[in-house]
Amino acid sequence: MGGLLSSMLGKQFEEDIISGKANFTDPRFVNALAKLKDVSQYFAPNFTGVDYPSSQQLFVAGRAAMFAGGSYEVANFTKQNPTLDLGVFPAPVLKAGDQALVATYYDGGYAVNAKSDKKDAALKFVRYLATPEYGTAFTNTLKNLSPIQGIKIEDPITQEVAKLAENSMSYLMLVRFRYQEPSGSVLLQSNVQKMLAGQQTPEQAAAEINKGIATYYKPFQK
Amino acid sequence: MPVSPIQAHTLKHRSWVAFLVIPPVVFMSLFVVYPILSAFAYAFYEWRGLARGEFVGLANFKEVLFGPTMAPVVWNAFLHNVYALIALMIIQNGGGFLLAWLLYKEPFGYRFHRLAVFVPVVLSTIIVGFLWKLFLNPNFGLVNQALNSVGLDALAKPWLGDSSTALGALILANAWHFIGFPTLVYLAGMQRIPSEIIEAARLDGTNEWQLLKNIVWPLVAPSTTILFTLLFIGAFNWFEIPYVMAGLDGSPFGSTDVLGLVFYRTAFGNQSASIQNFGQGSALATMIFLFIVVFASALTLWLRRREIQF
Repeated sequence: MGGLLSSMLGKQFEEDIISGKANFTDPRFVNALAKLKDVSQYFAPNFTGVDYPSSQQLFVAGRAAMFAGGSYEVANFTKQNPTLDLGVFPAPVLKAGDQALVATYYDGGYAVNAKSDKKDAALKFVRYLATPEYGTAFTNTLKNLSPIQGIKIEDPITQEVAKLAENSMSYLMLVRFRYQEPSGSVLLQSNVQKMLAGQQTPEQAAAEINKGIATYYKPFQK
Repeated sequence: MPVSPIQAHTLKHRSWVAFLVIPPVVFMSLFVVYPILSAFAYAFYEWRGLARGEFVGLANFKEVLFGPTMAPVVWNAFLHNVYALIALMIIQNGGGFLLAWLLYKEPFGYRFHRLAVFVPVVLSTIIVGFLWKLFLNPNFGLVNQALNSVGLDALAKPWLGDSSTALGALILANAWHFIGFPTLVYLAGMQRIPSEIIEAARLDGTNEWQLLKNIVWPLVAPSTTILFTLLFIGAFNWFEIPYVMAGLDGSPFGSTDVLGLVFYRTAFGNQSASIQNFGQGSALATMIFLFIVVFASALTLWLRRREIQF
């Protein structure tokens, strides 16, 4: 959803969700789901039976033209098929002139155990992880963005990704709704699957997602 | 006081028995009884990750059975277990019985077939699940390609992605994997039937159906007892095939969810829900265990009573 629908939701939608001014029955969310249902006619044949690894394989093998994924896929894809000529683009906008966005999240941090008997060595290592030297190696090996500033990115696709990341919103369900039950991701996945299978409308899917999150999310309970 | 020879003998005998019995009892207590009891105890506590919180009584059980978040998921999964039990009873055990009868009659090449039918049982479930996932792949899988090549394109489906066929596909994969086991057990049962009985029935002019129904089926009752009980336990502990073929969430949208998957997600979390709740997980596991113990025992007692001695 982050990859495909972010531009249609918009940064304002995220703010409204946080403040409680809007919930997931908001027309912006329902319309974005309806658009997803609409473009699903262009998905791979029998896509409901294609799992994530198979969809990666379809793209790597050149049997799918587009892949809705993240920058973390680039190194994996180009390693599997070095001749793969790929580019990146942000989530499509609803109408010309809208801000084109990507969805981002902070993923993977480092910590040192306070009771470690090798604490000094561990801290030294963690400090190294924050140096431009490490950031450069990280970005150029894994072809993904590092939070460390001032890194010279060699790979043209990663340069492109870095430019896209300047206009971003949160990868909403992961960033905000992953840590309580039922998680936003679980609700989104099952209800979008149901919608794409034609068993519920975008309105119904949005209502179900909202109902699940409202059981614990205070701003929706007002 | 002097020890009489008889007393000395009893003492020696007793220490010998103790020497034999104590090590296995200690071993079983430590590695079987203690883990089961401690899982049972976990269910009565609140958990914060690996740290045990307060004693909460039956709250975890209540949440699993009646909570607005857990209950619909648990009952949906339970129904799928029941469905799998019934379907596998018919396909796996029923099919095994018929295959055993065919092999019993020793048709041409029966030695080969007896071996062939058992080969999948030896394979690892991970391999079988992966194999069937490839067979059922909607675009390049064997099943759809076969349908397309004989002009039945209309029947080709995304089997594992369609909520009406996904659970059925898992059941068939499971039956393919294990049908050799009931076949072999029934075959052994049939070979135990004294041949005079079957010959006498044949002389009396019974047809094949009467022979199966009135002679063979009642006389393989001990095999049925063990197979039905094992399938019952297996169906409610079902995990591997759904996990490998449908994933932890029982895709699509819970159509293949079973209690084993719910337990795993609840206790250990998954990629789309980073919550781990040992308390509720243990409560669910405890209830699955008690359910299986109670009903499997009742089933065994009932099945035992229909066994005939000969």
